[in-house]
Order: sequence, then C-alpha cells, then structure tokens
Amino acid sequence: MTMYRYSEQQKWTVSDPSVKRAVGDDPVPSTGHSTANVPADYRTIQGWGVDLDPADRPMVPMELPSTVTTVRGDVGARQVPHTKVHVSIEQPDLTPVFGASVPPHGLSGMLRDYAYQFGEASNRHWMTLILADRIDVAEHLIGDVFRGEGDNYIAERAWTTYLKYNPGRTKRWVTLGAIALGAIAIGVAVSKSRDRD
Amino acid sequence: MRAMTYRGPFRVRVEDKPDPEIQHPNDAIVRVTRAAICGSDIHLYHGLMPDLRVGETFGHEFIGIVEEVGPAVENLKAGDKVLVPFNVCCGFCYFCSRGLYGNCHNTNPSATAAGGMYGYSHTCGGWAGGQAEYVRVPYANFGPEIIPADISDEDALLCTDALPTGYHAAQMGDIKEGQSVLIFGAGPVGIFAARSAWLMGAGRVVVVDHLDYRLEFVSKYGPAETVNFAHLKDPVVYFKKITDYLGFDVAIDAVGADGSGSAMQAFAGFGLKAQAGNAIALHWAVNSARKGGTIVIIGAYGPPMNLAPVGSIFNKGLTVHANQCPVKRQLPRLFEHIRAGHIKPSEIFTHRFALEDIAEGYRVFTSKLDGCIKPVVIPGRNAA
Repeated sequence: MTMYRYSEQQKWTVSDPSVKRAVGDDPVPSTGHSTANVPADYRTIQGWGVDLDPADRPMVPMELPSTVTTVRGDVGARQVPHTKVHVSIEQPDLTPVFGASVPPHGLSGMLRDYAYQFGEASNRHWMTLILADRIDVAEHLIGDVFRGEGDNYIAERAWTTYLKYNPGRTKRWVTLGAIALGAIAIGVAVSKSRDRD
Repeated sequence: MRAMTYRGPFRVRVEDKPDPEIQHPNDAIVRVTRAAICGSDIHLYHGLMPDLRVGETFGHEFIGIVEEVGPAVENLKAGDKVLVPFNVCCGFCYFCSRGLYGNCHNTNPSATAAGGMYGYSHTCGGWAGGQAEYVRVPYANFGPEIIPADISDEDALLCTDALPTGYHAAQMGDIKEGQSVLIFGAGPVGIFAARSAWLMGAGRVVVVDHLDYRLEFVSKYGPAETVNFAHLKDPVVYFKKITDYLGFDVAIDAVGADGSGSAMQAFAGFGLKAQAGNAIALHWAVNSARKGGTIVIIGAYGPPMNLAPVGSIFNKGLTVHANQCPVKRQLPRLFEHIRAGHIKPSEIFTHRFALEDIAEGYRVFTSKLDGCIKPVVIPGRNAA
C-alpha cells in the first residue's frame, strides 16, 4: 500500500538540484501545482473512508447474479415502428422499444442505409455515418434556403454571448476587421486611380 | 412543444416539435422541470458522435413531473416528481438483470457498442432528449426514480448522470486505503470523482486540467491537489516525479473525446477524423499510472477507434475499468451521502438558462465562459 501524508510534503516533493534537467523536465512543485486546500491529515476530510468497505460500494460486485440466459430476456409487448429504424446487423432483431426520433431522409438517409449493412467493427460503418451526418447538415442548409428559412448563424452559435465574455478578443477582431476593410478600400481606390490613368 | 434541436456542429436552436406520445404500454410522458447540459453533450455539439441527425434533441440529465403513463405502468402515476437516469434501460435483459443498466440490450436497435441514452444520437438509440418541455420515457416501471421529499430538485437533477458517474468512476478505481488517485478533467464528473475518491478512503487526490477557474473550484470542493498542465512541458514526467517516480495507483480519464493538450491528437481526431476526437487524457492516464495500477475511463468516447497506448497498458500490467454508469444502482447510496452532507451536488451549478436561450447556454458551457462549471436549463419562456 502506498501511503501519502500531506504533513510530509517533502516525501513527494522531489527537487534535487543535482538531477539533470532535460527538455521535458519540469521543476517540482510546478507553478501550476496547488495543495493549498487539502488538509494535512486527509482523514479529517468530511466523509473520508465511509465507503472504504467494499460492502458499502454499490458497484461491488460489478455484475449481479442472474438466471437470465437470453440476450433480450422476457420481452413482452413490442413498440410498432411507423418509420424506418436502422438496426445493427449485430442485433438479432429490432429492439422491443426504440427512439427513431429523426427518420432518415435524402442522400444522407441512403448513406445511412449503406452504413448499416456493415458491422460495428467496420470503419465503413462509422465513417459512412459521419459522412452522412455532414451531408445531412448540407441538405438542411440547402432546403432551408429554398424555403426562405435561412439559419441564423449568429444566434445558433451564440456569437454575441461569446463576444460579450471575450471583450479583448472582440477588440482584436474589430481592429483586424477595420484594418482588412481599410486595406480593401485602399486597394480599390488605387486600382480605380490606375484605371483612370 | 418547444425543444432544443441540433442544426449542425456548433449550432443549436429551439423549435416547435410535436409532443411525444405513448408508443408502448410501459411508456410514460414526463414534463421536464429542470434539465442540465452535460460535458458529454459537448461531444454532440461538436458533431463528434456518428449518426447524429439534424433535428435531434439533446439532453440526458433531466427531472420532471409524470404527465401520462401507459397501461402497463404500475410504479408511477401522473403527478409524480421523478428523476430520469440517463440510461434508457429495460431492467430484464441479459445485461440489466446483472445490474449493467448502462449496457441494456433492449433499448438501442442501432448499435450493440452502446446502450440506449436519452438525446445522444441514433448510435445510442435515437431517443429524444430532455432539453425540451416533454419527453417520452420508455420502461417507466423500471427507469425513473421518484425523487425523495428530502432531496432538492437540483440535487436530484445531478443524480441523473454527473454525480453517479463521478461516484462510479471512483468505485471502478477499486481504491484501497491511502492510495493515490489522479483525475484528468475538472469538469462536473471529475469534480464528483475527486469528492468520491475521499469517500472510498483515498490518501491523495490530484485533479488535472488547463482551466484555472475549474481547478480552483475543485481544489476547494474536493478538496484536491490541482495541477494545471499548461504550466508543464511533459505532464506525465511531472506526475512520475511527484510520486517518487512510482506513478499513481489509480488514474481516471474524466475528459473523454474532447481533450486538450496535444496538437497531434487534435489533428488526427478533429482534422483528419482518423480517430474519435482527442484521446490525450487517456494517453496521459495510461502513462501516469504505476505498474500494476488501475486506469478508469469515464469520459465519453464514441464507438470509432482512438489513439491510445495499448502497448503500455499491456507492458505495465494495468487494469482497465470502464463503463457507462448504471445510475439506478448508485441512487440509494448517493441519497444517503447527500443526506449526511458528504456530497452537496447542486453547489456545482453556476448558470441557469431558459430553454429558449439554450444556444447561449451551450456556448457559455463549451467555450468555458464566465466561470461556468455546470448550467441548468429551465423550460418555459424567461424561466431562468
């Protein structure tokens, strides 16, 4: 058993100056290391050791005894699907309940159909799903534009909130934006002046 | 009803959606009174979970009032105030019957690599989440727990995931008296893991992060030693040195797929998509544990592969414990700890947002703005 006592900090504070400093070597204690709020005797911390006995730990043992030998158990009633539900080929059948909160659609849905033909150890399964997710986003963007319902990127990404809590960064962005606009304006003016010449 | 909806990576909004309906005799409909944004929601917000569809509603931490129950539900009735564990579980399959409620085989048709979870992509069952006004709760005879009268709403809200998950992490560490515990991540789960490690009899608890405000919080709440890895050239070498070159008895990865601290890991995960996110915390945990020690993976990773030093796990003889927390098994003991004052969960809540402002909540939480540790989401206009 390894015992540490905070009253004996020198025990774990290795700072022998004779130790050769390498590139990846940091002094001990580091400036980013704090022990300020840990009491000298950790046994005084409220509740210390109340779950020391494994009998007081809910996860001992990890697996409880059971007589159930089939993967589904005694299922009983089953939910009726009203939309396409993708079922892993590693499942024996459709589970008795399922979410299916967003049915597949369009090209992304076709890609999801393809992905679910492969097992869960297959990269084609997961990478195709990730690709389908990105195409799904693009499909919604295009669809929203055609419906005249463009996304409000500023609100959805809460940019105003971000800038509110990062005033320094806001100033930098405004400054850089002003410089960029100024450079463009100067470039356009110079170009026009050359055209006139 | 009004519900948060995913629009694409880094984008969410609130929309009108149809109210959920009873679809199985063992269903219940719960009116959400409080929800939370979880650290693992960040992985969704960043678009890291496969089969995450535009229009999905997140939220696996919520409490509420039962509005309606199916004909087979006997343990709940309309009007009951319940907390709903994040695991969607049946209670009778091979795995649930063994207490592995996070691994239920009857609630996720789309994958066997993960159990069912509310609001966590179609890879986790396609269940609508609780960042909404109403939620469908399947297997209502088994999953939801009536909130005891002496447990506050916001303490109960944290009993749906963050607290039991942190407590579970410390248990999976199999901590012996006086042992040293290193926890990567000072988010809510890391904070609760630190507090729980002392309950298990740890002798030293060190929490690692790069955000000073979170380290300051856990240093008092744990309490815990804290290390800001941004001050270090090589965190693993440092952890060896502060343990007399032994390494820690137990190392816990409470970060998951959204780690910081390695450009190579970030490029492989976020840039190339060659791995699921950034697994630097797991990498450091493996390398910081002593030979023969235990590492715990409690931070959320998706099913695709990750870059982790498997050879070091083998050569150091490490024991790896990992699992989604079976929340129901933790609740009786956690209620005792809350009553005894050993843990005060709701002290970690720092922000409250109306559901209508949830985009702001996600931004504040994910960008670590305004000293945010954990935000509460309250349905109803101007509720917060």
